[in-house]
Amino acid sequence: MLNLVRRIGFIRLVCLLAGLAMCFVLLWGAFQPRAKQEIDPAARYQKPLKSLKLPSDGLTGHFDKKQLRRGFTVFQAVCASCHGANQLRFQDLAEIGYSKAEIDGIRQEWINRIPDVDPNTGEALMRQPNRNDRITGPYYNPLGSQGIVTAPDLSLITKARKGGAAYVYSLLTGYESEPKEIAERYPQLKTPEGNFYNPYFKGLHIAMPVALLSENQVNYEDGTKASTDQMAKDVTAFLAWSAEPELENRHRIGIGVIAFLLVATGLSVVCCYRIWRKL
Amino acid sequence: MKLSPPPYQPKNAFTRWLDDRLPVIRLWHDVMGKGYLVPRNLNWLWNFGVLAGIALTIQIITGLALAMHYVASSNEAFNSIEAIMRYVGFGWLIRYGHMVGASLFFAALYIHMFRGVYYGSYKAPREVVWLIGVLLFMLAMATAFLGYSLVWGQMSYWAAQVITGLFSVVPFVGEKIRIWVLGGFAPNAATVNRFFVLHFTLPFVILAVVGLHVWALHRQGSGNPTGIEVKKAEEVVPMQPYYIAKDLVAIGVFLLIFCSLVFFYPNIFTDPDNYIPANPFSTPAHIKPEWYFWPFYAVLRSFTVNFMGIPAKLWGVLGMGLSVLVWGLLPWLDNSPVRSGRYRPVFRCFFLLFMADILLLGFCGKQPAEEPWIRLGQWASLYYFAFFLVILPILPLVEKTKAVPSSVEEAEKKRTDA
Ligand code: HEM
Repeated sequence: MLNLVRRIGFIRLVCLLAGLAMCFVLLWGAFQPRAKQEIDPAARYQKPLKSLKLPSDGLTGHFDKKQLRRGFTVFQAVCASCHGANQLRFQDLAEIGYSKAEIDGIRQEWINRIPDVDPNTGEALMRQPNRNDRITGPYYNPLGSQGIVTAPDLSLITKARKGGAAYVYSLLTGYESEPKEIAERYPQLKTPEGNFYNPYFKGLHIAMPVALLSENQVNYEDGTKASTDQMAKDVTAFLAWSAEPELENRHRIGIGVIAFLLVATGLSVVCCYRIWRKL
Repeated sequence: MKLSPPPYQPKNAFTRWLDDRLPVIRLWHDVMGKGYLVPRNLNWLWNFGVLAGIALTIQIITGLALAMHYVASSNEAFNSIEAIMRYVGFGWLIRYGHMVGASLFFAALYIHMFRGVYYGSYKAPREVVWLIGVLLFMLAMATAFLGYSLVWGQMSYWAAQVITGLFSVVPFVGEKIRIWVLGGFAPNAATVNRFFVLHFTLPFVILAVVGLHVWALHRQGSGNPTGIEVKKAEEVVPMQPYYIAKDLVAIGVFLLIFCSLVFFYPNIFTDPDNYIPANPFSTPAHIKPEWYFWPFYAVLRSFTVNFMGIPAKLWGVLGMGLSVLVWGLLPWLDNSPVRSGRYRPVFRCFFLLFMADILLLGFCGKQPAEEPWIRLGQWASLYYFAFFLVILPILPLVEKTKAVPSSVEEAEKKRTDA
């Protein structure tokens, strides 16, 4: 025994004992009985996302400006009564093809007024948004939500949810009537008053009512038929743009950068090979 | 025995003049030029130190650019980052570069460290190189955590909440320390400000410590995959041009990976929740750190029972602390006279198992705090500690190692023959 201690050495022996102690604590924990875990019955009714193809998908995809405009039309007419897109400024709409005059029209009619001060009298007032004001929703609070649950801002939504654009599309088109089975087997899962059943939403019940109700709910200026599916696709495309307006640019530059790096790395491989070959 | 490299000889009047006054060219020659002799049998794993350095450089450059536009305030932080991406010229490139760069920095570090474990790089006479390395690792972890908090998204906020909450396990004064660190009862405006100051400062500390790391390394010279010290002039080549050329290839491949991610998959490593602005009133269903912390997070969560009067949470913090510190003990835990894993077949098995174990731990750390992941994490943590603290100290007593060749040259000849 003493011999073993001598062979291991003092430091290693201390570490060894500490290690055994750690292992013992972990073992002790591993063999503790576990509280029975309840499997969330809602998970059984949750549906996998629908697939959605957007023109901006893939490495060489492009935003379809016409579609983005249609998407904004839906956003303005339907979503904006509850949601904002506050990472966008009104002037950013120029990027998807709105003229200055159109942008002025949009901002003057916008649902929100901006608190400001009258430059002549110093009185507080609410003014129309300027071109460089954020596209806010009715519940916008620059200090954050302060604990009140409100409709979330949508400008980053495709980056802020697992599944991205496909999630938004699935959610918009995913309202169903609650399966009968739920009332029979899981009364606790019954959709609460004022909520709606949507199997794409986590927990199955969403406070947002069906937004895209009927055909021709909005008027598309380009003559596209405004089916609910079309509106859902268009507004999703718009939100994908609002979350990553740089996407097209990023991909285009990226392809150039990768091409350059391939050549440069190739040269460095040749260079390296020729240097080492001489040894 | 140290091989003597050719000394620096200034070639013209100007370099002679400069060398007498400020020998910077000599420094370059000694560190990166013909004056640093490197074993000629290094494999590609020896390039990751330089790659870590490249990643650090990318972080500092993109970080400086970000800092010029970032607003360190709890109300503005999140929006200012979005504004950088949208309204600053190439802002998205700067921001995504910094985000992806952090992940690749850790990827390079982990490979660098595992190289060290497998080839016994931590053994005499390079213990100090190793110790400084472990210090760098800890500094990098602190910096990454602070930087992640600065985004002030949901995950940032709640990660800051969870990690600073670990201070509260200290008996008696824990809660006081936590409040002092945060500058309040929960992450708040003061927290963003101080985290920004620290996050700005630490990379320069890291840079200085990297200097010490390389200095200590150059005192003894690089090791090599055989674990045998070089003895003859035929076994080494000068850094310039041989390893400079090889490093350039490695940097090229590294940049290819980096740019593919930045330009095409910039959000691949992040949690979608962090695109939701911080909300102190709503706890995310599942708080988890960035991938490079998952194994340590799993260790933290593996201690689930109060034991010997010590509460589970304190065990968790101790365990997690120890899981980082054991890396620093390595040179003293393993006293096998054989350095490289190439000649230690039994060690090699345990090492491979250890790599698999780290992956498993990382996987468990990623999962929600539910069964079976917690229990799986407990077994994985157990092997983690057993590997360092039990297996490595005992192994030299029982392991039969392969015969170690007498020189690097002979070892490499045997390898090519086989
Ligand atoms: C900021 C982070 C780091 C940087 C920039 C860095 C840089 C370097 C460089 C350039 C080398 C020489 C080339 C090579 O062997 O790859 C090196 C060697 C080494 N590093 Fe690091 N390192 C860092 C972190 C670490 C860490 C975290 C560890 C271990 C825990 C470590 C341990 C070592 C060891 C043992 C060597 C000598 C290897 C040998 O010569 O056989 N380093 N480092």
